[in-house]
Amino acid sequence: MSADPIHAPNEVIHQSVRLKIMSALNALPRTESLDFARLKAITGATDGNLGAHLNTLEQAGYVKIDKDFVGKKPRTTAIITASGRSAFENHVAYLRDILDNISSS
Amino acid sequence: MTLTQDAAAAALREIDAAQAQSRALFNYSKASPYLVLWGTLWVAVGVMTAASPANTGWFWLVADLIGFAACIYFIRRDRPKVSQPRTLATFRFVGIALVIAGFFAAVQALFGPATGTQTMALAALMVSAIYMGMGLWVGARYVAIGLLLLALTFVGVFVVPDQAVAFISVAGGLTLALGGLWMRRA
Repeated sequence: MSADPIHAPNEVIHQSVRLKIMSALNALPRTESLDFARLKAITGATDGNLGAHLNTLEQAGYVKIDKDFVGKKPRTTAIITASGRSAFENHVAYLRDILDNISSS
Repeated sequence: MTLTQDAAAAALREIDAAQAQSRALFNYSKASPYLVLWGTLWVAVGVMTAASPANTGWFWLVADLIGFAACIYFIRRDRPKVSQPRTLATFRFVGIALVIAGFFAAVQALFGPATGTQTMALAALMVSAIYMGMGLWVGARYVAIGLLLLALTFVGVFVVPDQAVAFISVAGGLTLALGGLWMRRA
């Protein structure tokens, strides 16, 4: 029995920067996080832009953001939540369904 | 909102690229302490070899034991906490170390007695090949480090043959240690 197809993209995740953030975090082992600098390198976003998109994802419950200090330097890290992983996997399934349906029609 | 085929394909390409970069950066950050550790040990052995060439074998034995113990410490500290028990991570590392040591011993047995320079060059070439091979799967920085180590090994053997062991140890060690720092900053 196959799962029901998903009929709409996840609009929180589908935005390009947020898609990259979620992809990067989902690629890590479950207990691992990425720091702000590495997320910036992966997304190519500016500090302010990246911060805003992380907040959007945090408000949706898809990522958890931690702020601490390494020595005297502040550090921001993000980790994907269980519901974030599930939402991301559903979104990827939706994207694959679009390609599969067109290639099989 | 409905997506077109092109938009879906583009999104999947973005996902693949971001995941590959994330895995590479994560891998670099985890590998960094090992490169700095072994690079430092290679430099230390090289410096001591330059001062006392007759004791090179002993220096390497001590360095290998220190490196081996430190690697086990790193592995037990950094293992994936949920999915991999400490003992399994340690056994895997010991297994890899035995495979490498066995291959090294087999090559020496097949090709007969080797000079100190040949032994050092073989060890450096093995490390170089491992990093370049890993790099093709994990990230380009491994390839760069492996290539530089390969080049320095040949420089040591053919340009400064009388000091090749010390040269390869120091220059190769610096390559590993600085490569480790380069990975940490990725």
